[in-house]
Amino acid sequence: MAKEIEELSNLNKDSIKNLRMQREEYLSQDKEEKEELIKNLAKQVIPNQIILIIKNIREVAPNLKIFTLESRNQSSLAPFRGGSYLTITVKIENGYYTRNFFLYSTSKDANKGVYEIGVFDNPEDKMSHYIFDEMKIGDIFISSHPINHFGYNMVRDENNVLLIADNNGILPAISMAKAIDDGIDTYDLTIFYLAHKYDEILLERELNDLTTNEHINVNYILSAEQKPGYLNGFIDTNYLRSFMSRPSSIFIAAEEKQLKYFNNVLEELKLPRKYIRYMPVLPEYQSAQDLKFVMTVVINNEKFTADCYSNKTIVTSLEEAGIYIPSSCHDGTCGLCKTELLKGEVKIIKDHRTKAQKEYNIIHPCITYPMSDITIIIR
Amino acid sequence: MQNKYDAIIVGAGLGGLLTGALLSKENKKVLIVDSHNDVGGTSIDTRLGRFNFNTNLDALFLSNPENEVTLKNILKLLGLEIEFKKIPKAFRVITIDENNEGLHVKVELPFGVADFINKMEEYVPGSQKSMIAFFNIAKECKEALTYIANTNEVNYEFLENSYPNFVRISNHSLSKVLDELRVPLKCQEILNTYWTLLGSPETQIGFVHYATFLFDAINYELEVPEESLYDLSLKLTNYILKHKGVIKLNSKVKKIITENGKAVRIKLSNGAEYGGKKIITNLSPVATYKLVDELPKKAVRYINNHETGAKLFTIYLGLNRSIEEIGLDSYFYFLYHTLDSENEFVEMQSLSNNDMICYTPSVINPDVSPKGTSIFVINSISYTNEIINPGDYITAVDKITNNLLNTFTNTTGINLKEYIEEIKVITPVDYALEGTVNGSYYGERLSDLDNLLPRLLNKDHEDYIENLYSVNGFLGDLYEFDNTYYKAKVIADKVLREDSE
Repeated sequence: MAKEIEELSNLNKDSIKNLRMQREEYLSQDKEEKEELIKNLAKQVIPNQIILIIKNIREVAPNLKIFTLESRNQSSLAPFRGGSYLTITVKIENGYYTRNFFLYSTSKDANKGVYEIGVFDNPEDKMSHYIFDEMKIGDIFISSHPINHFGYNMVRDENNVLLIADNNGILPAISMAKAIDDGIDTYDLTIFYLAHKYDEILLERELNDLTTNEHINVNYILSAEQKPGYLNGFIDTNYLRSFMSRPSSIFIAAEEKQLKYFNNVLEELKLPRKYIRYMPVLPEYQSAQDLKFVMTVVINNEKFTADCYSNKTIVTSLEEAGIYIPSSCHDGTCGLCKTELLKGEVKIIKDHRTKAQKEYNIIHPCITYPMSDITIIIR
Repeated sequence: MQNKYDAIIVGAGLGGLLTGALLSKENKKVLIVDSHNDVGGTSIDTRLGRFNFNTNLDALFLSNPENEVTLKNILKLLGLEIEFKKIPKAFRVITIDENNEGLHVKVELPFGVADFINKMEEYVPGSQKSMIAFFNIAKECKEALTYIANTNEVNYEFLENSYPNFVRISNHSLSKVLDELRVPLKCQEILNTYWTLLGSPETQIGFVHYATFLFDAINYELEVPEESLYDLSLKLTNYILKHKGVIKLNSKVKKIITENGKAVRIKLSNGAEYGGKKIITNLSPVATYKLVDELPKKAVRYINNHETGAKLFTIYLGLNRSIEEIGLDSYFYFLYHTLDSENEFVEMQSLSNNDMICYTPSVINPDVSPKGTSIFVINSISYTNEIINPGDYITAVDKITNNLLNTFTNTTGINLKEYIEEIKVITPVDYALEGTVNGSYYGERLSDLDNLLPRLLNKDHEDYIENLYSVNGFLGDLYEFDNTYYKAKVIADKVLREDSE
């Protein structure tokens, strides 16, 4: 039994007896419902799903089209950072396909209800090829909100950014530059555009227009052609260093082959990792033999079977089989496609799974290739 | 109508999974649904570059081995183990020095009641007597709460005889009772440091709640799990599946359907319906009632008589140097503009420039990131309802992040920006889509008659829908430190008891 403390003698010992009733009375007051303002904002800035209508299609090169997309009621669209992409899902024949497309416009356009994305024609990829060839004005996309894994961050990065891009990375590069031009970001950006030949350069006029802004510079480097006004050859350490008179961050938006070359250049620069950022690229993988396997998929206790291939990710095989699986990043980071592997051997590229994920055979089908017949379960 | 389950659990966060595991252990047929593609709720696991950002980096647990309802002990019931590491010091609190004039107050307190009181006496000479009284009363409050939480009908005579100080304190605020105890003002301010962990200032939070919370922390010490809570959620998932439980992901619950005032089934946004004897949500009570198809007037009033609690703005930083090189030497950094929590509360109605609770997980667990690197977490709390133009949202987030980092630098002399290799920011807007009410990470705010003790005394009168329960991580429905896990145990036990009757 506790000893009574004198200092508390001013407080009434009976009030506790009424506390429950007071609580009841308090809860029975008539009050107005509170509006969830933060939740409303969340629905506007990170909506789960956006329906977008194709308003215009511009062919800017034989293999690149810019699609102008509008929200259904022309209301403003979720804002984004330069270098973001949309994860778009399209129904083709019997199944849903999901791919990412870089935004080409800026947040300022989004505020007016418009997104622009670039679509490359890739005959090997059914979905991009379908969008490029078949889709027309008035058609509808189901899209995610803009997602950003590559781009400038004012607290992390230096305000002198050197961005090395090839055709694969030129769309996010332009979108980053446009964000500067729109006054959204304030830093100096120098783009090094790598191409084999002059004819392969995309969107040159747009890029040159952006250089009227004093914070944006573009240098073109042609590896297989000499042309007045354009650098010839490769970027080396000394060349890069000449742009680094003050602390700089280096961004690389290029395909995997280029990355290997640049890793050597960057090693010579001896920059801490903090100053080098890479655009996520889909890991390249080729199995020794091109083999066909059977994939069994369990959904809601129902079993489906389909073909899968040693040279295709499980997500790709699921899409081709018309079995829907949510997916987004396609490089194993976002986790949207996480699935349980019940049976079979697989090859995982860039395996960053946690201890428990490995223990329970949780895989990311977007970066996983079958090496035998497999069984997976989608919950 | 699909087959009937013993329990349907809405939300596969840790609370929902733990409840599900405890029920499946007793062979109950359990269905867990979650709108996300993965289990774990807010226990995120994000990989950026060479860093893994997990929620367990700043999840605090009580290291009391005798307490049966800590996460560690509940997991033992399931045959699961989880390792913890102790936090070295109770807290370090520093007042923010906007203009870098060297004027800040810097105080550090140890764990252990005796050590705590002694250190406080060094900072505030003459505080010892009132501090001893404070901890004695805190212990009494803890015992009284344990009695109330475990009894069906409160015997007030027994309460008065056994816990004479507790009955006098009843629902008085923290500041009121500290004043009565003649705790020196400077000592009160230091003592109140943990207020941001409960999310209500000294004038609003009940003494009973804060005192038991602080007593538990100081007396038993705090620890953080060594492995990620996300991995724990996978372990629980595996346990449930092995015990024939069903988990449906990508399944958003649109409505909880009632018949004659009883919850009978859930309806998903794809139209599918599932029936269950009990429906348990991994949401706050307010968020739960908002899902019910037909609410009695009493429940509507219940919703509207709650204030939204504190909101979090979280910054995870992957730093490219070790803590020794950077100079981070404390697990906790509480950075407050002033030590007057009421004043702070009033100032925290906007999103920018708020008080911070910072954690350095690397101080206790160097393995959270690769050798030569470290992880630092900043939680800034606010009560904002500020309307931001959607177009300005990203700029606003960057500005707030930048300001918080600058404030940390000006106050501690440590320039974090120099070392940031990876950064992940989670705002109240992100939390708003995670089943919280209006983005409040803390659930309903604790104040006046919406404090722990009145909630506890009235708990049997606030189940407005039969067969509907809520398990959640929000503070103040129950009196234990490991709130979510304790609730999971209480609700699972309740369901099992009712089922056997």
